[in-house]
Amino acid sequence: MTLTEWICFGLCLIGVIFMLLSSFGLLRLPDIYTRGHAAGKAGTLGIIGLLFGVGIYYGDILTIAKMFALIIFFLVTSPVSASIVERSAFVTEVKMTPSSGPNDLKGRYDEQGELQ
Amino acid sequence: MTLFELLMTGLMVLTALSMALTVIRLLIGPSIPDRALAFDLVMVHAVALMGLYAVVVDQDLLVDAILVVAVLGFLGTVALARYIEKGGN
Amino acid sequence: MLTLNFILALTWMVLQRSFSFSDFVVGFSLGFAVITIAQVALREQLLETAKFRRHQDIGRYPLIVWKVLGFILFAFWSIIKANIDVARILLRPRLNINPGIIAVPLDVRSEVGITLLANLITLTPGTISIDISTNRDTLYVHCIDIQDADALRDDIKQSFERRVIELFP
Repeated sequence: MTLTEWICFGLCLIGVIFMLLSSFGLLRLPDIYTRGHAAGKAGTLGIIGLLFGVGIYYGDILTIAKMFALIIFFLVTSPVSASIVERSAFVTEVKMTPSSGPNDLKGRYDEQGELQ
Repeated sequence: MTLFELLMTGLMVLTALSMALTVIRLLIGPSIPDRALAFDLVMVHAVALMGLYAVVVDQDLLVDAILVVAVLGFLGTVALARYIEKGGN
Repeated sequence: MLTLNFILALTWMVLQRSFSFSDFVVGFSLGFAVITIAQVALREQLLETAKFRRHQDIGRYPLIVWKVLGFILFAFWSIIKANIDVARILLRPRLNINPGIIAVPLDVRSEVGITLLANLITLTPGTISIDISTNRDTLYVHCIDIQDADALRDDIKQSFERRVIELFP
């Protein structure tokens, strides 16, 4: 194995470990809002590490450019999809897990769906 | 089969295992937003599997396919979330 | 928008790996179609950006580039820290977390700045931005483990919002 292949394998391994963590968190955490943390953070870092690994394996400028485009795409879109799903959960009144934490958003939507 | 291909195939197996865990949440998810979140993560896993497969078989044509799957996954999640919010009317 | 059209045509040619004239025509017409469809949103975005451009920033291009580089490094460092935090919470044998939603008052005014701040909050330790109020002055943030709500609010305002305001007011 060459050095490039070792680096590629290491980056992919880090990515896969974080993706395993995110799907484990999706199963273990108690409600939809906390599950969003697992999916929105660990999933993003996992896929970024893996795509870096793939880009380094090919090593030509076009593939690396495509990988950078993909990484920026994931950095922009995966937080957006996590927070849009959480908002849809809040609007349709999915229950939160019982805890003593504050809830400032409760009752802030009026009838038109406008947020105060 | 070289050592590198063997290791990458092992990583593919791990990713498939992780995808199976996500699919469990997709099937049992108590609410619809849970399923939307799981769908998003399933698409991310699909992208990861395709990337690893592109390295194993050494085909850089698959990289273009990865782009398409990534865009489709995001659009699907956004469409699902809008649908849940508006209540389907 | 004509500049954008040329950039789109060039991107098409690079992705096709061929620099002939016919490829340029195809890329240019595709870019033309995309811009025609999206022109309303594009114009709003351009007007929005022009409204918040500060005059004292003109002539200080190297300083701005330096700040952007520092911001990117800071963002990556906080993303990695966030993942280690969440992993530690996930791997605890007993899951005693204390989630809740807090309201954060905003000082950022531009749409780009708010988008950047919301994305950064989602990617960093234990917080996800859920929604923004209609008049754009409060951000609602879900936290996975609240110890002290006021300290958390201060932390978001001091570390993230200050850096975002430096780039986009």
